[in-house]
Amino acid sequence: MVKRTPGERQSVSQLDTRRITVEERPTATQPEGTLPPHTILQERYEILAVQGVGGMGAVYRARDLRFSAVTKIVAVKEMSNVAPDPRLRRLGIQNFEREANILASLSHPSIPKIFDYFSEGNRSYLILEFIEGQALDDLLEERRQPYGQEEVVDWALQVCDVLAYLHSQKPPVIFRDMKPGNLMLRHDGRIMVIDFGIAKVFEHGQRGTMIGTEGYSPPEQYRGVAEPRGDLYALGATMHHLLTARDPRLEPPFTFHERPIRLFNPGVSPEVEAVIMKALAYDVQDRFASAVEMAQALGNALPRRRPVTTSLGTVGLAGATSLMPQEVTPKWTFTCEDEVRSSPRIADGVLYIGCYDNNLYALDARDGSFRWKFPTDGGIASTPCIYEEMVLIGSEDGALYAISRRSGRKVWSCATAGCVRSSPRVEFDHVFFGSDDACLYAVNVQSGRVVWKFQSAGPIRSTPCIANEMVYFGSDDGYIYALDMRSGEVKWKYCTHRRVTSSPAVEDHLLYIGSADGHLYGLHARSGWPVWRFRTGGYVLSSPAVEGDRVYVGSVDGCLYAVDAASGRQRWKYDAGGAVTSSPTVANGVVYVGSNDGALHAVEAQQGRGLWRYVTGGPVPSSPIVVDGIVYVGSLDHRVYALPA
Amino acid sequence: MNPNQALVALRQLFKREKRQPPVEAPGASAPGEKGQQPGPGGLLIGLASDPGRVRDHNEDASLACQFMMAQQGRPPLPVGLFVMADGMGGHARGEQASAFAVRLVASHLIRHLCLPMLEEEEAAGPAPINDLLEDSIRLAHQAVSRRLPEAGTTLTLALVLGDGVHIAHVGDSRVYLGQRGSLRCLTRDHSVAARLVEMGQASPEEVALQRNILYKALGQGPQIEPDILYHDLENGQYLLLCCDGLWGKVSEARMVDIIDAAPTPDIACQDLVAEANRNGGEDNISVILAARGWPLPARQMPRVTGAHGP
Repeated sequence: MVKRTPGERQSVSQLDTRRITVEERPTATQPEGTLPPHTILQERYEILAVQGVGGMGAVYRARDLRFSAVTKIVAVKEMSNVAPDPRLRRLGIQNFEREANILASLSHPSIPKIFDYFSEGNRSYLILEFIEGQALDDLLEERRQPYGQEEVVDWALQVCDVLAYLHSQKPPVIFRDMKPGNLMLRHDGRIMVIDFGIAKVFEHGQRGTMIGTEGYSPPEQYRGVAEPRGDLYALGATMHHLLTARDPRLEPPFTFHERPIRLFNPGVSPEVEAVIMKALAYDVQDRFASAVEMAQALGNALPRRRPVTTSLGTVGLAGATSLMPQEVTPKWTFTCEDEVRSSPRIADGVLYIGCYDNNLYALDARDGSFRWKFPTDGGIASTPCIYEEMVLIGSEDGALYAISRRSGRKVWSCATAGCVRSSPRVEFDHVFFGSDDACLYAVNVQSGRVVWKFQSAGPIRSTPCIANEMVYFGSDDGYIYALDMRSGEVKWKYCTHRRVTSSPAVEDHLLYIGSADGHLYGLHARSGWPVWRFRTGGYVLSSPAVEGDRVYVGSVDGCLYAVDAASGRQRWKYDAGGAVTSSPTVANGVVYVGSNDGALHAVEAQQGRGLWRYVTGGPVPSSPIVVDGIVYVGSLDHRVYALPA
Repeated sequence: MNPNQALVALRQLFKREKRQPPVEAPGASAPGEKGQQPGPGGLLIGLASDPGRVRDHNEDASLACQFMMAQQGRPPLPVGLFVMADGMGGHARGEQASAFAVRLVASHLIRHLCLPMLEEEEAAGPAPINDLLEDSIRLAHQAVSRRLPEAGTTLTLALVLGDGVHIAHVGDSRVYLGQRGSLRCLTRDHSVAARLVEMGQASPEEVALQRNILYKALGQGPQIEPDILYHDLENGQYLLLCCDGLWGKVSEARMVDIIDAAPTPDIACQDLVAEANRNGGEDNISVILAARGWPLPARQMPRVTGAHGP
């Protein structure tokens, strides 16, 4: 937290004497400016080790020499008052004295006892009860995953008890800095609330400077208002952090509702989530009236304790409640004679799709009834492209076909020297497509005559994308190419070192494409400069879909990813249960994608929550499309499905 | 040294002086006369920094440089790098933090942008720009946190590559994109006030007093994640980087008027600083202006200003 006033800028961390992040150090490395071991303060406290260092001093483990017969360990909290600015120096001393006075007036088993307070030279010291344990933020950092709800609620109940005690003082004491770093978990399971450096005796209507920890502090605290319900907000923020393992200090303030707890930790019950969200209400009036009320709500929200609670039991519960599949029944299905890897296209109520039985099918999109089929001499993996009265499709027999949509008869075909698995794209009266003969073809769409072709060093299965008067595509030679649309001349190329089967999408200035090197790339479309790359755990053969400020793509690692389009940062990932080579499509806030687990998945686009999955009889590498509330997709079970979206 | 002439023209604005010495225009012409010529990066650069009228030291630091990367077999690429930092932390710490951060960010970027170009063709292509930007800010964040634990700084950088600009940003210094008659803020302030406005919880006027609480600053907090964005930079457009000492004191409409009226980008910057001082000058004021063409060509566009008020 940084508080800046027009005349003076200062950092509150200067007041922060209590960060205890450094692990206990052996004497080998002595942090700069700290007291060396065996220093004796007041002829009484022998420094044993540095426990942690903060902005204005250190915390030490020390021995109280008055107890010569036993080893009495105390914590020595130091403030080295060397701020050159006299105002800051005064402020530092004030805070330190306030902490001493507040602690001296309190007595609670979860609040460390204070034994002494003194100054030596330009340093001041508090002698406190030594707490054997670890701060929750350090524990969370080691653990790197959310805590279970039973532990967190148990701790929160203990904290509510402390807060109720503080708030019942006359006048009330406001802690003002509740966060995982100020909660120590003792080995016996007791939570200790440490660091009263900025705690404050509450006075009604009083306004002061903002102080506290960014991310946990309630909105009113930024206006200088400190009151008991602010501590409840910060406790809610602390619980949110512990249950989600998402550090609120890394997020814009007051955005907890954008990170629903159950999304990150399905083991949390909706009731507990509701209690926390109430504590985190923006308006003070909408929160619990007191710590006691919050404790009651938490107690009621917790599911009735089972006689034996094991962590295994909690996990099992999580799995059961995380996915609530809706019942989805197909509107129709159509059965071909072989695998359907091609993806459907729809125009004027007719669905076109290729099949490994060598045929291109035309079906009625409403009921799936057969219109016509066009036989080629090879399997069809390519996705049809509709252009005026024609449908264009590539076949593994090596040709690209233009077929009359009305009659299902061939208008022209264009032979290449390899299988055509790339899907054609039409722009400016030309059709662009790749072939396993390593060439990208530009063909006149009326005549089928080749206008130019470009030779790469590997099969081209990627479907070209045309934008900025350039043709973009990937090749199995590992490069992403940008060619001049008119001449086929290379404008730029970018090497990914692994085959690029994914098809590019261009939106605004960026080109998005996956590679078998495991990355999704964002390249500057005009220059080919890499702007970002996002790493997945497997080949990215799926083609990205861009919607709003997100890019969605599947990976062979079994996940569907949502990535921020501008920064390339992950927004969420969804476990699709099997390799995702299908390309996602987005409609009405839902992402649809096929998976090798045999299902079509519908995933909520904003936060990646699974909505439903429909299991077909085989893997689904086909990419779905959504038209008029129906999602269409093919499956290796030989079927084409129409499902309500 | 003239920033528009040297191949790599680095100018760091150093503190304490009450006013920047006027920057002479290239060639023999006097400042203010028929103006600057574009530098090797194709940009005309102006900059100014001033402690303001109230404070006795300048906690801002800024840097501008431009050059051309030309190599056989590749089209020449004009490059411009602009960095601004507004330090905080009391006494000398704030200015140390801002100057330190600017130096670290710039040296990381120049090193990792230019040196790979000189390596053999077979080496992997250039690293993604966003990684470079994020790494530079992360390194500076770690270094500032370590060396000056009580200080923090805003950090806003704009890297112009060819006809686009990549921006990375923490804090409430801003990047505007302008052309004759209009100006638009590209960055989002990481201040509680801006957040309250975004949430619809407060009007820009209501929070004017709170704008100086930052929720994200370099050197503060355990980790840092800068905002990263990109924008096209066309001929006739300019980038304006400034700290809150300018945008808090001079309205966007007024900035447009001053910039449009100035004979050179450098004079525009000086005039902006002077206006902020006329309006109180309570804070340090720093401005960098990098224009693709000057004087700005007339545009048939209504004046549009961004959502941010002063």
